[in-house]
Amino acid sequence: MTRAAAVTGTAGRAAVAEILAERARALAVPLHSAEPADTVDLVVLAIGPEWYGLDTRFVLEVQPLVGLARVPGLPSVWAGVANVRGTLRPVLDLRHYLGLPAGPQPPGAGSGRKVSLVSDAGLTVGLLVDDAVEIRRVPAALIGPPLVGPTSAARRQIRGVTPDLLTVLDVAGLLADLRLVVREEPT
Amino acid sequence: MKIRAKILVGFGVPTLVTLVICVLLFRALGNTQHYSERVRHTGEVIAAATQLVREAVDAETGMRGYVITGTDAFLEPYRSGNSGFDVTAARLRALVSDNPPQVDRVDQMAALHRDWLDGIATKVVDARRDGGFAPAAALIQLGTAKRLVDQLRSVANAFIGTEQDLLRTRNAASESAAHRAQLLALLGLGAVVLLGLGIGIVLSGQLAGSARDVTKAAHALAGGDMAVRAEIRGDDEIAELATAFNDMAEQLTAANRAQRESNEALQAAVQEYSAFAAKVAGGDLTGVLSVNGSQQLTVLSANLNGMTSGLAELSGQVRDGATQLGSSTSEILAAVSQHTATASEQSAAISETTSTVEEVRVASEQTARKAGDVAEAARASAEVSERGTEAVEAIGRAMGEISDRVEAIARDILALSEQGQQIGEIIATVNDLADQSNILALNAGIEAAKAGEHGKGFAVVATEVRNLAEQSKQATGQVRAILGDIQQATAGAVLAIEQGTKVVEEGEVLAKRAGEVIRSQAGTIQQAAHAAQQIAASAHQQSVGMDQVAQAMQDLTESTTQFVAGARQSQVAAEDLNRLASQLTSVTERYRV
Repeated sequence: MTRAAAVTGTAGRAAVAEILAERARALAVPLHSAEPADTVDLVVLAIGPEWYGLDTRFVLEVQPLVGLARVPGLPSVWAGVANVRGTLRPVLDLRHYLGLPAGPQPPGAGSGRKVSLVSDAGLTVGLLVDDAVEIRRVPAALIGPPLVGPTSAARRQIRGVTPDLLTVLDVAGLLADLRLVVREEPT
Repeated sequence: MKIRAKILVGFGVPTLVTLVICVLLFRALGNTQHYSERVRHTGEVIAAATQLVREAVDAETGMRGYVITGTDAFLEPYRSGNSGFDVTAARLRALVSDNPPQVDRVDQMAALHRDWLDGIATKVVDARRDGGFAPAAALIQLGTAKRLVDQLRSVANAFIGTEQDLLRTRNAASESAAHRAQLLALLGLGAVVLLGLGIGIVLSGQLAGSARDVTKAAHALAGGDMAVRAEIRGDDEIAELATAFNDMAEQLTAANRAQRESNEALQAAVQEYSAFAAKVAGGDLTGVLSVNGSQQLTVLSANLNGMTSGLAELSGQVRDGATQLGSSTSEILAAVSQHTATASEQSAAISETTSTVEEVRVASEQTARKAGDVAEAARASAEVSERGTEAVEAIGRAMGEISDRVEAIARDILALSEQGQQIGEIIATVNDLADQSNILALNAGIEAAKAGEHGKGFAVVATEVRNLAEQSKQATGQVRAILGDIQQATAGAVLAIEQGTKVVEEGEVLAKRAGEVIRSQAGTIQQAAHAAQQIAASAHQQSVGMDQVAQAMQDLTESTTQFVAGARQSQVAAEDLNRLASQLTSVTERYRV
């Protein structure tokens, strides 16, 4: 207010223009400034308090979980079948698959669970997660080795861990394992 | 014979005689009628015989006419005469069938006519028709016909003569029967008249004579002749009347005699009583009336004796009374002087009483004033308590209003709570929208990432949209928290209002109770005021009563003075009484007892 009251008249007008130009310079972000050469776009999903990243290239979309139907005789990692945009998709309970203990949803999470459709080599599967958080761009070099025990069945499906403890899943490996699992099903 | 029987005989005998005469007359009239019948029969026979002769003559005349003229028209009488003769002869025979000689004559005439007709007339008629006039005339000239007709005529004459003799005989008999009937009627009438008159005269004479005797005797008795008696004749009702009359006369005579005797006795008694009364008037009370005469006289004399003895006793009592009166008047004189002394003492006592009464009156007036003050104070208290009652009522009304307002507030808060609920629903909807926006932004980000370098701008937009959705969610979270606070606050308000309502109700109850207390207090004060007024009135009445007592004392003083004057007059009166007693004594001295 003090400043706005001071700048009036032609001299004031010039001062205002200068202030505005200074602000524009401060706010302007260069399009290719410090852009790393090799980056990965990750869709961040939440299972309980932990966050997991999926490469966006395999992710078709994320939808709220609506109308999940349980199918008798399926292994317990399969949550059931869901209708997504007119097509029935098998839904994998990712928490169960990753061997995480069942727990309550974190406070402040979305009201409903989400299904993230992933696809590779013609197979499309829905992953059941607690919430979809964001899209994050991570430099590929920052992804370290996975933090899993030697006994974990999901060792092959984990690509690595970012410095901020975001576990990046290998969607291609996961789908390959699923294919094996499905093939093991007795007909 | 009783009068009834006499009258029956007097009317019955003439009636019986008349009946007998009537029967006789009836029979005589029957006779007469029979004879007239016979006469009429004989006339009829004569007429028939005459007709028979005429028909025979007609037949002969017709025959002769035919002979002379030769015309058939002249044969008409001939034929009708012949046929009529037969009919008439049969009728005549039937008429005289009770008389054989006459029947023979009719047969004779019939035979003659038949001889004429068969022997001559038929031949003559045939001859005239066949041979003309000459042979017929020759037959007539033989004279046989004429002889036969003459014989017929003579027989007829004899027949008619006999009948005419019969007619005469029967006429005479009829007349004699009529005469006998007339005579019987005359004689019967005369007998009935004579009998009726005779019986009437005898009966009326008897009845009138007896009744007249009794009437005469009754007139004589009424005139005062006690010795007269009615003559008893016969044994009818009038005789009984006469007997009864005689009995009555006897009784009247006896009654008359008894009355005369009692009159004489009464006169004697009256003379005796008047002498007795004269003695009593002269002052001699020693006489006693002898008791005799009738019952009433006995009672009267007893009463008179009682009266004299009563008079004697009375004069003795009067004498005694006069003596007592003298001594009493002396005592009265003494008492009156004593009373006069007492009255003086009384007037002194009355003066003391009057002064005491005055003091009491002053005291009661003071009481009345005090009581009036108390009543005034009580009235003021009553007014104050009235105002208090009004104030409490106003409090009650205000409490009612408060209660109404609190209820209105409760309603408003309830509505507020409902609206909060609605806001919660809206928040949920907004939250849902934010979620959907978030997912949409995420998906947009995925697509942008897939697009590589070309999708970078779009990725920024998607990120901004996601940020907006996040902010929206945060905002709704804040709103939800505020809403929770509001709902908590409204719940608290509702609780507070309920408590407030309870408090207000208690306040109302308390105000009501206070009003009742004030009202009862007011009633008590009213009663106190009433009592004070009554005390004031009583004190006033007391004062008035004291005045009256003072007045009474004044009156008492006056009456004491009057009493003294009266005592003096009593003294004079007692002296007068004393004098009167001595006079009475001298009066009673006159009676000898």
